[in-house]
Amino acid sequence: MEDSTDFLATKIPSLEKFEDNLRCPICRELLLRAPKITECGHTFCGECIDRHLNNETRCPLCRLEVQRAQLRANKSLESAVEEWKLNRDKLLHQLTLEQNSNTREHKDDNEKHEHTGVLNNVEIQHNPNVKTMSVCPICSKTLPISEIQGSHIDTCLQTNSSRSKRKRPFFEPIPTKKLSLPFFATLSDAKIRILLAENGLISKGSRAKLIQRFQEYFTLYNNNLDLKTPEPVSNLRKKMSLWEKTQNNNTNDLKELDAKEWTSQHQTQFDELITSAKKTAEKKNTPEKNSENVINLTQTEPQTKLKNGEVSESDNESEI
Amino acid sequence: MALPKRIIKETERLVTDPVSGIIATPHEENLRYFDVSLEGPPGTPYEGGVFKLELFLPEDYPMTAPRLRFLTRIYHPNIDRLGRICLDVLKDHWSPAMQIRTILLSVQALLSSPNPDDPLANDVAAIWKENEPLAVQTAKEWTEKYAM
Repeated sequence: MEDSTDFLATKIPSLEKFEDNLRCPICRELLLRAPKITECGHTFCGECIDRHLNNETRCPLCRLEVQRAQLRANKSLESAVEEWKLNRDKLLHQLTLEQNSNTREHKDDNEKHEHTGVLNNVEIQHNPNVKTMSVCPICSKTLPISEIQGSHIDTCLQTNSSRSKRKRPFFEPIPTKKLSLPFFATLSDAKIRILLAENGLISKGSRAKLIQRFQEYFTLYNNNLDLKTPEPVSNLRKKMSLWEKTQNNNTNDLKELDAKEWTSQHQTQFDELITSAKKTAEKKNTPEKNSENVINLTQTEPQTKLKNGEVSESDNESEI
Repeated sequence: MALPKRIIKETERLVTDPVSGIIATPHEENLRYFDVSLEGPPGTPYEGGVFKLELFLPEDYPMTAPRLRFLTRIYHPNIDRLGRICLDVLKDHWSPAMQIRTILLSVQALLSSPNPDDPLANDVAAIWKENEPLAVQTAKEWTEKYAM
């Protein structure tokens, strides 16, 4: 997967740090999607920082106070990153080639070959690790030539043409006006439901879920308008339905995990836990010596659960 | 449930370019759940020990902190007997710009500098304050007993 660490294996490994600064500290993608700069001078994807500000009011990097209204588009950086993105694969390809040929020359020097030129070529073919790479003319990814000439071109053509179809704006006008975030505390559930329905969103669920849903849509919608080529609203609705799925899946998964698997797998450990707990309870009832421990236990009890790893506290307990 | 790109990238990097003294491997059936082993930092009573931890990335990671817990018993004022860790960056000081590797480094740093003034294990912290050599000795013994 594309990452700044790609440059670590090249002739100029410090480009890793350079590219790291062109990536959003939150999602680690290149800052191509309407990046925004905070008052403290840090830049994030518009969507990422917006979503973060739903929970918090501090900069993820330096913890200074940040307000949504003070965010500004960082256009120079966006353009710079666009240029970087256009040339990134070529550069990476070039630097990797140079790196490889350098190491090969060293090898040849050591082995004292006379016809290094010819031998180099032979080596390329024989060394399976050094495939002849080329840049795909459609998606401009660097891939082995054999792969590009094989299946890659076809799949690349297909995905690209379907992508351009989706972007065509003739059927669906792109909205121009941004949504405003209401002050939820003063709105009744019914009003929030109406608001959701007006935007074509699901209006079921608890109050917290309704608010979360609107916040997510608000983040997607307004940041979409900041993009150089905004997507039609139908795409945002698709993203929202994906979002709904992750929300539902999550709770279902957890319920199943909690109830069935964990209990059956770890019944014996739970039993041990219960008996040991009863024992300590009996001990504590008699003398008053252990009062400190009681406080300690009650203080720490509520946080015990490690979401998915609930079991393991019993592991530990049995060790004790 | 789709795994965010960021998690995949972080995992790739943890495996290909690990931090010294820290190994984190994801479970195959649940890529949000990691087994971690952490070497006790040199010059501390935990030196020579290898401590096992579990790490879980919640659904809204990186907007919320990873959940992290010691599985190996450890004698430390900020780690209780269930392995729970009292560390600001795991709680209110979490920021989405942090990563699994930075969090694990923070835990390693916590082993190097125990903070008995903000304790989680009250009994350990009390001894740590009253009689530090004894506490360090006990920590060493526990390391030998549980982490070697």
